[in-house]
Amino acid sequence: MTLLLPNYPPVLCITLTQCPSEVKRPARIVHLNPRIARKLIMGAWWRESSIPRHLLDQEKDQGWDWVKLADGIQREQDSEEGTQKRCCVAITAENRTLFAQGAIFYRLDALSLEKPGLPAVYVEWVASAPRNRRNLVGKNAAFTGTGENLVAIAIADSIYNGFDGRVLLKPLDTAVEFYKKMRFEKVLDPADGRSYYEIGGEMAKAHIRLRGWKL
Amino acid sequence: MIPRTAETHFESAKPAGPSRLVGGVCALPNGDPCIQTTGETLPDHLKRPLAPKPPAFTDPVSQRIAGLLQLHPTIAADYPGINLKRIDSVKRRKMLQAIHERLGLSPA
Repeated sequence: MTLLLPNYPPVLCITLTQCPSEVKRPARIVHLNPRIARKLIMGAWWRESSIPRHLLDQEKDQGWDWVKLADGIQREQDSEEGTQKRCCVAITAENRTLFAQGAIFYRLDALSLEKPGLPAVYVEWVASAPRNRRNLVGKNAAFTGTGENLVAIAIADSIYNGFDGRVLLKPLDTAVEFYKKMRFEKVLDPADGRSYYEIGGEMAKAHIRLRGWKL
Repeated sequence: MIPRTAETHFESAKPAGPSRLVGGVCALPNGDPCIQTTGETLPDHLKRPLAPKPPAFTDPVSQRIAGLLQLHPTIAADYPGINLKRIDSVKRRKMLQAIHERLGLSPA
């Protein structure tokens, strides 16, 4: 298992809630490398036999190639220019088997729309495993809280790097409500009028404080 | 009226019953809601230029300084031609502290 790179945030473990028992379980946060992406995401997420195929096929992120993404980051990391892209995955262990409960890909080289000119983190991809999605498995979900914790990791990285917790993203229409509850606010890109959602400042820091993460 | 801070917002979002809050958003134990982004890449006009990739360092203080200077070219401009390998550990630590203070981060 590859541990996070030195400049990653010091968040190596999150707490997920097991369904339906509500028991808290730890999940390890690791840097997503191609091997983990191939084995624990691409080779597992979309092969859940308990979820009807037609429901899985409706998920918009089914075509996301996490292996290609992880491979690209690894190549950039080794190149002369380096990379400011980060990709993490939350892993749990059950009966000596590892499961990826969710993954996030974000970059540190974005500009804030709320505070123009200031740096921000941009979350390009974030998803929880299909086995945790309410719309696919209803009350039979394995865990809850994965997505929120992964977004909090992007916030933590923003704070850790001096961006005041600013995180920008473009959610699917069906995910807007989730980000509003997390206190993301709608912002418009003046260049093309497209809408994004952004969090920063005290609201962002509250997510970190509530989890007791020390940065 | 009590001002609505970030904490009070999340506290008031708690539903009745124990352990039903994971972090800030009300998370009932029946799985995650839709959280996916559109997967769109960051448009060029929202990308900001970074300083060149720093050389690899083995000590964590130098790694942290180099990482922050790459992300904050305006701060890097105040240390032109700096060679972290030629600075002793005490000065490196002070430098990191100064950068942290400028960024409003907790002491290194």
